[in-house]
Amino acid sequence: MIVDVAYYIIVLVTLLSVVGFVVTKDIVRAAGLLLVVLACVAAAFAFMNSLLLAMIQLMVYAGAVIVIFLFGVMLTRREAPTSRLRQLASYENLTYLVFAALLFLLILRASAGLTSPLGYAYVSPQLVATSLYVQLRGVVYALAALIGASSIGAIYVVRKEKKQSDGTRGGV
Amino acid sequence: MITLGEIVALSGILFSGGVYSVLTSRNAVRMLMGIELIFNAANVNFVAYASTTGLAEGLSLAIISISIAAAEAAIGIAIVLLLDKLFKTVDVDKIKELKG
Repeated sequence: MIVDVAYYIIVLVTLLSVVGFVVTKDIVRAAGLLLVVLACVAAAFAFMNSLLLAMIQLMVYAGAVIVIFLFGVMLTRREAPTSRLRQLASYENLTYLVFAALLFLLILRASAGLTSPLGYAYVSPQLVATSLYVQLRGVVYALAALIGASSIGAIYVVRKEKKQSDGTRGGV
Repeated sequence: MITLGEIVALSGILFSGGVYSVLTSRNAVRMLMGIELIFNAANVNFVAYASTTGLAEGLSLAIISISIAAAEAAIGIAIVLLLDKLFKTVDVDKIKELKG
């Protein structure tokens, strides 16, 4: 029963964060709310007895992807940042508090062991690895080639543009 | 006991927010964030069905989806930075390079 209530709280926090993400005008605040949504999804994975995915979600999404977005916002922002006083008065601190609470919840769930509180089946990481590297091996190879090609393409586009701008500067 | 429908409802919330954000925002970074929400909705579905059936393929597909999303975010931000350098804006309505 308590676990059900905890899951509903996670869904409620997700709903509020998604609405806040859609409504807010400040993009830094939107990134903070996205962080809460991603942590909520990680907590939902943990409740679905999939701790491996929860950890991957936290490391890749809530860690790396959010940092990439914050770098993107920082490097493309035109308007002046808000003052420290207004920043303190806003609910960004609440966002980080909710994120910390979700992390605490996730650690509590991980310390409870492998028995699912919701009665879901436990799929071991060995089974996932077997599925990924034996049954879906072709897909993994194709994806690796695709991601490599797109990365090389992006680097090529950026370097070509840089070369063109250097040539223009030299001509002038 | 949380049913599968309630988990799919969580996925629906994420998907709706992501689609709304992609369709209504003009900021390219915010559009990328919306796409990440849509990826997350798909991942929740994958994990929910894998946990319900006990099969590992759902989790494998979720891991593949997460790796694609991470690569997409990195390449997307690189393109946005390039657009910002060229057009001095990330407002997608003002960038008319590919328009006929």
